[in-house]
Amino acid sequence: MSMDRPATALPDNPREDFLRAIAHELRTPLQALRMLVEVQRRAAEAGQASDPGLRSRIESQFERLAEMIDQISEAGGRRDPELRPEPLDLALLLRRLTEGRIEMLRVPAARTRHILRYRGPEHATTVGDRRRLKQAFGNILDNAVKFSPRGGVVELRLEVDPDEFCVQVRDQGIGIPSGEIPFAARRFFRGSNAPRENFPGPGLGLASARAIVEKHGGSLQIQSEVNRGTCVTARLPAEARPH
Amino acid sequence: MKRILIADDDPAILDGLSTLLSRRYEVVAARNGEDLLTELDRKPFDLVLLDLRMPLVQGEHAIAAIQAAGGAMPVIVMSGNRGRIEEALRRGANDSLAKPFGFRELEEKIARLIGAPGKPPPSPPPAA
Repeated sequence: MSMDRPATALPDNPREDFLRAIAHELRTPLQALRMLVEVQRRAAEAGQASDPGLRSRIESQFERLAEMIDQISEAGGRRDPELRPEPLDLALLLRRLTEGRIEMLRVPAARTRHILRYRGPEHATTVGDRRRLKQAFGNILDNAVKFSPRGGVVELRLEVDPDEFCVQVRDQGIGIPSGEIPFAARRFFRGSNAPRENFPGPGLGLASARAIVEKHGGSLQIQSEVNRGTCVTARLPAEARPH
Repeated sequence: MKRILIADDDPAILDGLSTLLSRRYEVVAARNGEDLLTELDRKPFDLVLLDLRMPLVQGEHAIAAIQAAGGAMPVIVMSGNRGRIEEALRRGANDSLAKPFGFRELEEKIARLIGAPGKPPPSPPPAA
């Protein structure tokens, strides 16, 4: 059965819309970097000790830029993500990722009052590309926050089975209309209930996450209900088989 | 101390701007247009620093809300989109900053509109 893409899932002028969204996406971390570097410069001039928290906030903006550039170049060239597999602790990676996002949202200025939590084991070792998996689950987590109301609960859960790792990110956000769910992990997808004015972004995050998970030999599934929330489930083989 | 309301949907930008400006001003931050309108209802501000692209209530609508409130609160809009900046200026924003801008530029624009911290705004030049 062929499924037509809903008209609402693609912008009217995809190329122009995409370029505009990309420019916005790149300017945002650049602007944040300019401000954070200025904070650091002024602290140094005032003879204050270097603030490790500030340094890590600056580093995370550089990472954000690098991830965006990866996503853009992969989307533009329709390339698969390149992996550099190494032994890693997936539970530790997911815990740190969640803690990092909590820290970011805890900045007094942010005040989104979202509740983020990790549920799962302390450790779960596997083989994979640490940076790309962090990027994939970071994208999923960021989407969950972005499409959730203030104070919404976002839960990241890791279950370890003998054959696979199951990572679920569940939110209480606006959800995806049922007819659009099959397209939600495609490049440039935008739900018909998520206008660009209110939810900016080029629509690459979930597509990139899916490509990274699949490149690790896994799969990505989406369940969603409008105004109830979305659950994104990534399954990764326990014996990771990056290919 | 003069009060500045900053509205931007990016926590890192809000973080940087708030940290820098709070040395000289009382700063309140809003992450979306709804929060911005709530803050405006609570207490007056001397200046609003407004990102045009925000969830829930767009910057252009926020300008209209500020004007409807009847105050003469100056508004500086921030955006990477030249067309939106021009539209916001037509709708009554007092000044603009094209992202990514530097902090010195921001400080100068704030000082022009509300004066340096602890000082009144500069007098306008005499009419020709």
